[in-house]
Order: sequence, then structure tokens, then C-alpha cells
Amino acid sequence: MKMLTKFESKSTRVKGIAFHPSRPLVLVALFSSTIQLWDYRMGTLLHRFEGHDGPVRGIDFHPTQPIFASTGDDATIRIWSLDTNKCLYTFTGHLDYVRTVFFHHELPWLISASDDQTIRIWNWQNRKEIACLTGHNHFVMCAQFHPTEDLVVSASLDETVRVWDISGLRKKHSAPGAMSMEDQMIAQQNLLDGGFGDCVVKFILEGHTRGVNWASFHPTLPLIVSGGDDRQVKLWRMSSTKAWEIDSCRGHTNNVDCVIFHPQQNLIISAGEDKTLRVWDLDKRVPVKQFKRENDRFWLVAAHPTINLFGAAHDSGIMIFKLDRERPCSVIHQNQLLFVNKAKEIQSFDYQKKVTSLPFANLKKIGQTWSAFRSISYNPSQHSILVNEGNDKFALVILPKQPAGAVDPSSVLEDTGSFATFVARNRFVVYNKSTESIEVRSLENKVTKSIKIEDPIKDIVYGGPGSILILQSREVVLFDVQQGKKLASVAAKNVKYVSWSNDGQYIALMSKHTITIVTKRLELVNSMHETIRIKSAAWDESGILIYSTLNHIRYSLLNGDRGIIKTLENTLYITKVQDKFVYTLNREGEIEIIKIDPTEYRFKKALVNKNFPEVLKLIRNSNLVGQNIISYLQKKGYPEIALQFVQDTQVRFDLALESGNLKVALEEANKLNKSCTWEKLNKEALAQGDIELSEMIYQTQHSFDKLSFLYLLTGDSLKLGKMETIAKSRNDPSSILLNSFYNDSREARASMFAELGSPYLAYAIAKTNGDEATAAAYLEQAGIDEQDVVLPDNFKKDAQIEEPKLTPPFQKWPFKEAEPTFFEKALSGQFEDLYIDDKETKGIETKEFTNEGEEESGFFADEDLPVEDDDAWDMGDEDLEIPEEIKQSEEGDISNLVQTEEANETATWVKNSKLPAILAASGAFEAAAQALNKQAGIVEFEPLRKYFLNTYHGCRTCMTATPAELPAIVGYTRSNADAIESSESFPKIAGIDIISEKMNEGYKLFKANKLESAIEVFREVIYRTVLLAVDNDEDEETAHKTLKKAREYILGLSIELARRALPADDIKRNLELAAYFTRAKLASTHRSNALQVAMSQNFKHKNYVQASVFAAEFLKIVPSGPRADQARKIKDRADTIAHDALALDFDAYAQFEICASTFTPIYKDTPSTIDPLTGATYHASEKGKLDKIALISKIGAPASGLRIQL
Amino acid sequence: MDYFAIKQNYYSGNYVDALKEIESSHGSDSDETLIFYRSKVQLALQKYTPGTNSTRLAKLFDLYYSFLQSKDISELKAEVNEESTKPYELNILATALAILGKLDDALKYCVKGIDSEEQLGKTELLLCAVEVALLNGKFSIASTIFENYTSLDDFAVSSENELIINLAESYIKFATNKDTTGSNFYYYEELAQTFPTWKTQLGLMNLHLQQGNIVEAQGIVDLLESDYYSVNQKEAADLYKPHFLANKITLSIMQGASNTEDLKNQLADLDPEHSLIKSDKQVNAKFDEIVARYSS
Repeated sequence: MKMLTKFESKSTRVKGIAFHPSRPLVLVALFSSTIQLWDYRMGTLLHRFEGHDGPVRGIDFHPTQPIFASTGDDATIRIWSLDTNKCLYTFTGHLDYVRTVFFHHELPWLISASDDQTIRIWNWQNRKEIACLTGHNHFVMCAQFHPTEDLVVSASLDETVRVWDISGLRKKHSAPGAMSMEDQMIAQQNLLDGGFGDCVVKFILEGHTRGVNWASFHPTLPLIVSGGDDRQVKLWRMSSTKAWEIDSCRGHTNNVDCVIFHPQQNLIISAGEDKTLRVWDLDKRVPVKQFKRENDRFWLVAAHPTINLFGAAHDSGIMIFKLDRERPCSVIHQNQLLFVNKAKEIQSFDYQKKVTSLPFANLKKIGQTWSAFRSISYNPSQHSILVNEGNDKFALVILPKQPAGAVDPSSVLEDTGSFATFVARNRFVVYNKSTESIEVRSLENKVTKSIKIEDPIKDIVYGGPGSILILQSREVVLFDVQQGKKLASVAAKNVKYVSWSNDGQYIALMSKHTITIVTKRLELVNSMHETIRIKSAAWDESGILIYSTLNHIRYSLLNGDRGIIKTLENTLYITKVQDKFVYTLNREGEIEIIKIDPTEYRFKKALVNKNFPEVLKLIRNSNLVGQNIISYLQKKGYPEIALQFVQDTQVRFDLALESGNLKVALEEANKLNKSCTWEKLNKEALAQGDIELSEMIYQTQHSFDKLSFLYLLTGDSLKLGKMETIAKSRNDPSSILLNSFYNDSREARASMFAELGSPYLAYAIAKTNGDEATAAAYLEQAGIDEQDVVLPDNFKKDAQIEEPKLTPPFQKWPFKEAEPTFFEKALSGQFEDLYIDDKETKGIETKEFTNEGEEESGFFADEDLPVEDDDAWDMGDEDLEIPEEIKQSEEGDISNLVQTEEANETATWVKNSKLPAILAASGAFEAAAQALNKQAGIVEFEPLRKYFLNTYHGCRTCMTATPAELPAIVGYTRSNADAIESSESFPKIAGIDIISEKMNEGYKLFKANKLESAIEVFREVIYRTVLLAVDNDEDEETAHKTLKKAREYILGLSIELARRALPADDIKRNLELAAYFTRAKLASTHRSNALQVAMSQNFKHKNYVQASVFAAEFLKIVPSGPRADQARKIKDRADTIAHDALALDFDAYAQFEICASTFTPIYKDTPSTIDPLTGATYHASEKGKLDKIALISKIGAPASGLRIQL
Repeated sequence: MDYFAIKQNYYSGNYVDALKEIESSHGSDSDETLIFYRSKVQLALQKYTPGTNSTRLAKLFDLYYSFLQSKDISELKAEVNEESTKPYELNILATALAILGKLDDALKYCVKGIDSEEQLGKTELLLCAVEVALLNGKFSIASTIFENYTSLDDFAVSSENELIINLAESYIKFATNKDTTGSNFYYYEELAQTFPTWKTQLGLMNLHLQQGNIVEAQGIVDLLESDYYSVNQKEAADLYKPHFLANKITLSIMQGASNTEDLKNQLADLDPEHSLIKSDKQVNAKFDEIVARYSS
């Protein structure tokens, strides 16, 4: 067991501590009269509550309301609001120091214990004292409500622990109707007796020899634990009528000030002035662990009500800690997670099936009872685990093959050493602290190598094949165990956990607050800090790190971009991420699968990788929104993408400007219509040289002067002239003046000056303009002489203004036309073939697949099959034993095999089965041939050569020897590679699936009208079936059915080929063969072809009655479509004529078979014979000849029937 | 001297790096281990040059080299002294005999070397002995030789020799179908991950084939046909081509593919002495008899 400190605060003499039931808050009562409120997760002091006069000793959060209570040496009890941080009310009544205060779990009550020798119960809602429990005759040091019953336990320096029954108090304070008259009388009497007689002493527990400082109820059992100045912890049991001492826990060397039960485990925790916290086994009452501080006395210990967290108050502060690790050990192998559950049982979880197995084994006997394991490592080869017990010991446990329940493992090897980790299928490493070396050990725990490591090691984890990662306090080292050398290292402090990416390229190194991502060679990729503690991490398929902190699931891209995916209520340890599912283990050691929305990080990843189609797809198909995404896109330089997410006009305008999209910016500016917006737009328009837009903005904004200047710049003299006119009509002198300069309209300028009362200027302009008459007129108007006006000396007439060179005026700066971005193209619909909707794409694919696969799949569907002839090849009654002579022969062949190859694999195969396929695979060709001859009348073996050889070679594989020039070493392939018993050993033989594939290949060739090739393939189906070995009835039945189907196709196609080969004038035979073709038992879709041929041929050759019959049959199969229309026309036409030009040897209504050799009908009662292999029917005259279907068996030969099932 | 890297590269089929390690090792010219591995590596890389070293072992390799060309073992056999117990020397002779199919003789020499007091090259000879016994179909002898050796020398096994022992064990397991889905598979998987070479990939492919893992085996075929293996490592590709073809044949049969005959023809052209082609000839002849018997 380990004490894992989570938070510490420094303050002098802490007397009380209380956990908030749901938030990470803790109240600390100080001797100095202050109460502190800490967020222990963040480590921040949230508030100080001042109010008490003197030391604060008792403190408690309300279980549900945002209030807390405190009490202390000032004899008051205060109720504080957590919302306002103010004291709401102060209870007075106690006459001396108050030691503890606690809220009731459901009623609005408070209980307090005081040095005034009383316990008081208060109603904090109506702010009244409702009971005063007297009886103790010394200070009452502690009083608490029972967690469920109407009981109170108190501890006093009078050396007793008392249990009080307060059910009367509940009755009294419940609804009046609930009280009987009798109860009311008693209550009245109590009141008279002292007013507080609703609480009676139930038990007085005597046993402590000094004052008792603390007493607590067990949360669920009828137990009490107490601690006192006699340095003892006592355990008491109570029934409904009595209470008695069970045992004492001795060990504290000074006063025990507080003792509590562990809320979840059978443990007792006590705090003593001997500067120790001690943990005791509740069942055995023996010490489990003690934690000692050097200088501080412990005053109090408190447990969090729901989570494994404790707080202890001591002389110099508080510490929040948990007892032992809660992280369930786990290890991933392929698609399976092995983990240790809360009960220390090893279980597995299948990620594919999402199923947790039964336990493989119970590991309780390994390590120490109250100590969780530190880590496990798995060896798939041995199916064993290494358990690091956490106390410098490890165990190698061989697991049962199958999970059969929490049984003790059959083989456990325990030894000293830490961080045991498998490095190869037959080696593991262990750190030996005493020699400071890493030892490589065999599965027998023999040390094969020892490597001295200088610096202290914190942990060792898997580091790739043959390597380990050594976690040290300041760095992580990649170490090759075989070579015993350091391959690489990276500086990373206090790394605790490691997660490898699925492709083995990256490693996430996790310390408390930092994740460092490195490559497999420990080259730094990035490092990031988290304020909240990091708990676990796993990589998803696309290389994104998904990690959990105390309260979030977050993600991080390789470039360091991160975000929050989900908030967690409880801490979870991520083990794997697959698609939208995060697989985690909770602290109870159970699997929790969390569904997440991966859109955000996938989006960011696609963006980082510039995978724009993916980005667009995500935009269109998801509901990515929020300022976060927009600012991210802006930050990453993709305002044009951010634009896709935004509705808000102002934001759209800003983004459009940023991305230089004037069109959108204009749209949004129109909506906003604010001068500052226009100004910004105009600035961008000018920057981009969009003169038209700029002009439009000036026009709408009535910025005349700017407009004039724009025209000047662009050389648009016509519009400049108009501007001058406008200026005049607006009667705006400055504008007129400006425009007169721009237009060089000197007359206008002179006239304007004259009008404005400045004839001198008007004269000067007219004079310099050479307009003497007008100049004289101005002089006259001003009443002055020409001599009075002095003009500049160096003035040159008509030389000031240069003619504009820009002609004609332009509309836009000659910028190179920019290529539209991917998004602009996509959004303007330029990618017509871009599938951005997953569903649509899938839909199309599925449909295509269905269309194409429809026919093929139909062939194997039972409903589409023609009814099989009951008289066809039925082996059931004729499944004879193989005659004795075959066995002898087989054995002869087999004994050769055994002699030549020692007692080996092939001999075992033959021993296990005498199926032709097994014999062929074993190399006993002779025996196989004999079996086939007897079972299926096979006499022509040449066509089977390929299949014999393939069966033989297919279950052997050649391994390169060392050196490569040596002959290759042959290994054998079994149908069941896991077979343990030799009786289960059979060769691997191509199965029914390949036969099905071949059938489909035949159908395709049929469809493609490649009839010869189709026949070849259907024959291959028969040959493969001959050398098939299946292990179940279903496969056997399928194989036989397939063989029959292949036969029918070969027959039908052979007939059709024969028809096509006929001379054109042999019409009768042509029509007969066409008719016979329709009798082959093909799949209906294929048979329609035969019917169509027969229909067309008969119609063409004026056999209308027959044509009509075939047309009718055709229409049953194909009721609609162009082919059906044609058939209908033929039928209608043929029916009207109803005459056959030729009499055929074909009766459409009679039952008959087609002779597979002569292609003539074999009517009922006609002598016939059957081929033993294919079941094809022949005229009796064909007996003894070679079967025309498969070309390997003798027609009518006696046979026992082909055997293919093992 | 530390031969770890040399042996590791050699046994994992990384001959180029093995040669580099040998050349950079600055070992003595008379270091027999170095001579042994240098010669082996050069032979594998088809870069063997006779007469570059005057030691006895090097001369034997020269003879072995000429044997590989002519398949005439007489000179080599005459040179290896009847009394010789040196494992490296016996290794060369036993390998040559095994190539000729004289497996009993080969095994005899191997056992002689293993039983001798000479330690240098003994583990290498053990591997040779195991292979010869397996080729001879004497699986129990292979296992016994292996077990005897490992139980006696367990503590003496160095890391560099552990590689060889592991390989020998894997061959036995492969030939006897032991731990096919367990430790033997993981051995090859681990090897292929750690040292991705033609040899290790083919080893892993064999284990996949042995388990009937068609998809995974096809994955390795695709991998080996990729540029990384077939173009960038052309020398290795040429060396392992026959083995690759043999494995492809097995795979194609398992897949029910139609290119089996074509692959067989390729293999027969490339290496008519390959185990698969030889056994194909044998079973073909057997089949001829059947055809003849039933057609008559």
C-alpha cells in the first residue's frame, strides 16, 4: 500500500478538515481562528473565512446545500454561505469550547460536541437548538450522526463512548400527525424532565482507560471505531440491544486523536499525536501500513464520502492523499486488452466484439493484500503475464488458455525485482535494485544477462522489439537489451506512463503535467503542459493523441494543437481509441466505452495536412461551430474556410476582408451599411485595385472629393468633368476648387474666386491663363488697376499642367488573375465529381454492388434454385464402406510414407483420415486414386493432376535455410494451426469458399457468353470438389449441391455449344437442342437466356406453338422490361398462328432427362444409367464410357459415393 | 571481440550491413569467426573472391566456393581432414554434403563437431546439424541435438549465440508444427519487425502460411514486391527469389488462384534444384504411374 499525496498546504496547527461531497474543495479549520477553502485539485486557496473568536476546531460541508458549518473555542457554531462567503447565522448555547460539528445526512440538523459535557442538536433551517444530550461527565470530544439510522455516537474524556437513540427527536420534529397521543405525552413528560429527553443513551461503551477523543460509525456495518489517549484504537460491534468491544488495535505511541473507517474498503485509519497515520485491517485488526511525519502531530483524518481520497490535519498543515493507486493495470495485445479488475482478477476485453471475458485467474494471492499492482506485461507466446507488485517484487503468472473464472493460476513464479517487462517471446527484463542493474531473464527466471545502469530508474516499459524504454527522473532512455546499449535518450522529467502510436512511429511520454511527444527514436516532436493532471493517453488510427486528465478527454495533434473533447465526471484511463469510441478503464476496474465526436480534431488534422477535400467534407457533414474553430482557422491562415462557419454579418465581413474576398465583403457591407465598414472595404478594394468597387463606395458614401481624386488617378477626365459640375451644383467652393485643379479648368476657378469675393485671385488666374479680356473684367469688378497686382516672376504661361497620360481610363489594376482556392472552387460547384457526402457515396456504391452481385448471389439463394430432381444423384442409401482391398492398398501406400519420413506430420494426417483429399495432401497418391475410383468411379486422372499436386503442395511451405544455398526446410500447414492433440491434425486444404468463388467465376463467363471457358471453370468446380475435405455437414451439403449445379451448367452449355456448331440447314436439331437447353437446371436468370434462344429460334423457324410455350415460360421469369415486351409480342403473334412447321423430339409437358452424351431426351421408363461422380443421366448404351460432364469418371460404374467430410 | 552485430545482421539476412560490420571491426586476418562470417556474407552477396586470405579456413571456403559452382565435393572433402574436429571446418563440409543431398553424412560430421571439445563455431554447427536433420526428415534427432546442446550450454550462451540458437529452435518448431500460432510465430514477427529484411519477411510469411493466414501472407508478398524490397534491395531480391516464388506458389494454391503453374514454371527455370520443384517432380512421376495404371 502506498500513500499518494495529491495536495499539501502549509499552515500552523490545523484542527479540522472537511471534504466537499462533489467538488474538489476542502475546508481547513485553523487554530488561528481562520477557515481556509482550498481547491485541492488546482492547488489554489479560494477564500479565507474570518469570524470565529479563537481556534476553529470543527468544520463540515452540508451534503447538498452550498453551506458549511464551523465551530471552535468561542463556543459558537457558525453557518456560512459558499455563494456569498458570508456567515449566515451563529448558534449560541454551548458554554465551553465546541470540538466538532457535523451535518445530518438528510434532516436539517447539526450536531455539536462541547467541553461543556453536552452534545447539542440544532435545526439550521429554523435556527433552533432542538436537543441537548447530557450524560457525559467530562469534555465531549466528538459526536456524529449515524449515516442511515437515528443514532448518534459520541466520545468523551470520561473514557466512554456513548451511542444515543435520537428516533424520538425525529418523530417529534416530523409532521405532527405522525406522532401518536402516547408519544406526545412522553414528549411532554420529557420536556418537563428537562426539555431534551427525546434522545436517550442506548449504549455506553467502556473499555478505554483514558479519555476518548474520537468515535465513528461504520458506513454500512453495525460497527464503531474509537480512539483515545490510552493510545488504542478500539472496534465495537452493536446489535439492536447491546454493544460490545471486539478488539483493540495497538501500535500508536501517543494519543489517538481521530479514527475513521475507510468508506469503501475494510480498513481503519487512525491519526495520532505520535506523528503517524496508521492503517489497520478491519477484519484482522492488524496494522497494514503507517505513514510518519518527522515533526508534526496528526490531529484529524477525514475521508472523502465517495472517492478514494483522505485528508489529514497536522501541526504544520494538511495533506490530501489517497491510499494506493487506483489505476487498473492493463496491457494491450493486438485487439485485446488484458486488465486487472478491482478484485485482482485478470480479465480480457475484446475491442472488436466489445465483450469482457470471464476472469482468467485470480491474482489475490500475489503480492500484498492491500496493495494494488503497479503494472503488468503480457507474453502472447506463453500466454503469461508479468505482474509488478509494487514492492520490489514481481510474479510471472501463466494464464489458463481460456477464461474459466477466478481460479488460482496454475503456475506462479515470484521473485525480487522491479519493473519486470517482456522484451521477447522468451525473455523479460527486471531491475535489480541491489545491484542497480537490469537483468535479462529467461522464462525460467534464469538471469542470462545483467546490465549495470548508473542512474536510478523509475520504471521500465516496452520500447519496441528487443528494446525497452527506461524512465529516469530527468530523461527517458531507449535501450537495446540484446546489445546492451543505449540507443537514444530524450530529456523529459518524471515520465510516468508511455503510449505508443498504432504504427509504432511516435511515443507519448506522460508525466504529471506534461506530455512529450517523441518519435520512436526519441527525437522530440513537441511537448505540452497541462494544468490538470494527465492520467492516460492512446493514439487513434490517424495518429492523433487522445488523452485524459482528471476531468477531461482531450486531443493533441502532432503539431501541438489541442482541444477538449469531453468532460469527465470520474477519472478514466484510456486504453484505446478507435473511430468514435474511446475505450477506458475506470477506477473500479471496469471497461467504459465513451463515444466522442472526433470531428474537431479530424478537421484540424485535415487542415494541417492541407487535405482540403476532407476539410470540406467535414464542414458540410458536421456541425462544427464556435468561436474556437473560427479563431483557429484565422490563426492558421484560413479565413476563407472560417467564412464557411459563420452567419454573423460583421464576422463574415471581417473574415471576407481578411481572405480578400471582396464579393462576400460587399454583400456583408451592404447589410451592415456602416461608414467604418465601407471605409475598410474601400481600403481593401483600393489595395486590390478594384476601382469600380471603390468608385461605388465613394458614390454611396457621397465622398465627392475622394471620388474626384480617384477619377484623377485613373485618368477618367470625363467623370472628373462631371464631378466639377456636381461640385458646382452642390455649391461647394472647396470642391469646385479641387475639381478645377484636377480638370485644369482655370476659367471655372477664376470665376469661383470672383464669386467668392476674391477678384484679385480671379484676375491672377485669368491673367496667367492669357485671358486678357476676362482679367480686365475682374480688375474692373474689383475697381483696381493692373499695376496693383504683382504676379510671380518665373511664371510660364500654359506650362504648369501636364496632360494626363493615362488613356483610356482603366477599371482595375493589371493584377494577375488569382487561381481560386480549393474552397472557392468547391463552393462554386466546380468539382462536380467530388463526393463530399459520405452517405451519398456509400449509397451509390452499395447500389452498384447490389446490381452487380444480384445475379451471382441469387444463384446460391435457395429460393432461386430450380427444384432438384429427387431421382438425381442420391448418395444417402448407397454410402457404402470402402471395400477391404482399398484399405489394404492404402495402408501399403501409407506405410511407405511412414518409413520414408519418420513418424511425422503427414503420417499423422493419414492416420487421422482416409479421405481422398487427405491422402493426396499426404502424398499417398495411389491410395487417393484408389479411393476416388471406388467412391466415384474415377478412371481418368490426368485432368486431376493439377489438383492432386496443388493439394500436395498447398499444405507445405518452404522456409529458407541458413545459408540460403541449403535446400529449403519444409513445414506443414494444418487446417487447424492451434491443434494440440495429434488426432486433430489435418492438412490445410482449399475449402468450400474457393469452390463458391469458382462457381461465381463460371457464372460471369456464362453471362459474358464465353461458354467454353465457363464449362472449363465448372469442371474445375467438380475437380476441386473431388479433392475437398470439409469438417461439417453444412459444408458437405453445399459442396454436393454445388457439384450438381456445375453439372447442370456443363450440360446446358454443352448442348448450346453443340447447337451453335450445327450446320445452318439442320433446323430440326437446332430447335431440339435449343429446347433441351431450357431443361438444364440453371438459375432462373440464366435459364431465361436458354428460353429466349429457344423462343427466338422456334419463332424464326415458324414453330409458333413451341415459341409460344417458351415465351410463356420466359415471361414467368422475366415479367417486365424490353426482353419481356419482345417475348409478349412473339407470344401474341405465335398464338394467333398456332402452328409448328417442324415436329420436334421434345415434349414440353413430359418429364424427361437429357442424355449428357447424345443430347437426346430420356423419357420415363427408358433404360438409363447414371454417372457415379456427377450424377448425370445417360442412355443405357453409354454405360462404361467416360462421363461427358467431368471427363474423369466411368458412366454406370459401381461406386460407394464421394466422401469429403472428415 | 564482439561479434554480436555481425551475427545479428547475418542471421537476419542483412548481409550488406553484416559486411560493413565485418569490415569496420578491424579484427585480425586470422580471426576464424570473422573469416567464417565474411565468407558466408560474401557468398550470400555473390561477391566472394577466392584467394584473398591464406588461412586454412579461408582456403576451405575457396574450395566450398568452387564446389558451389561445380557441385564436385571431392576436393573439399579431401581437404577437411578426417580427424578434424573444428566446427567451422565441419560446418562447411556438412553444408556442402547437405546441398548434394548426402544428409546422413552431413549429420555425421555435424555430430562429430558438436561432440568435440572445440568451442569456436559450435553454435553455428548446431544450427547446421539441426537443419540437416530436419532436411533428412529426422525431426526427433534435430530436437534431441538441440535440447542436449542448450541444456548443457545454457549458462554459457552469449547474446550473439543466442540468436543462432533461437533460429535453430524456430526451424525445429516450423518443421514439426510446434507453437505455430504461439511462440514460433511471435519469434518471426518480432524478427521481421526488428530487422525487416527479405529473409525475415519470408520467415514470417512461412509462419503465416502455416497458419493459413492468407491475407497476411498476401500482405507480405505485396510488401516484398514493393520498390523498397524488390528494387532497392535487388541483390537480396535475387538471392531470395526462388524462396519467394516457392512461398508464392503455396499462397496461390491456398487462394485457389490460377497462376500456380506459371509460378512453378518460373521457379523451375530459376532454381530447378529447389525443394519444391524436386518434390513436384517426384509427385508428378508418382501421378504418371496412376494415370498410366487407370487408363490402361
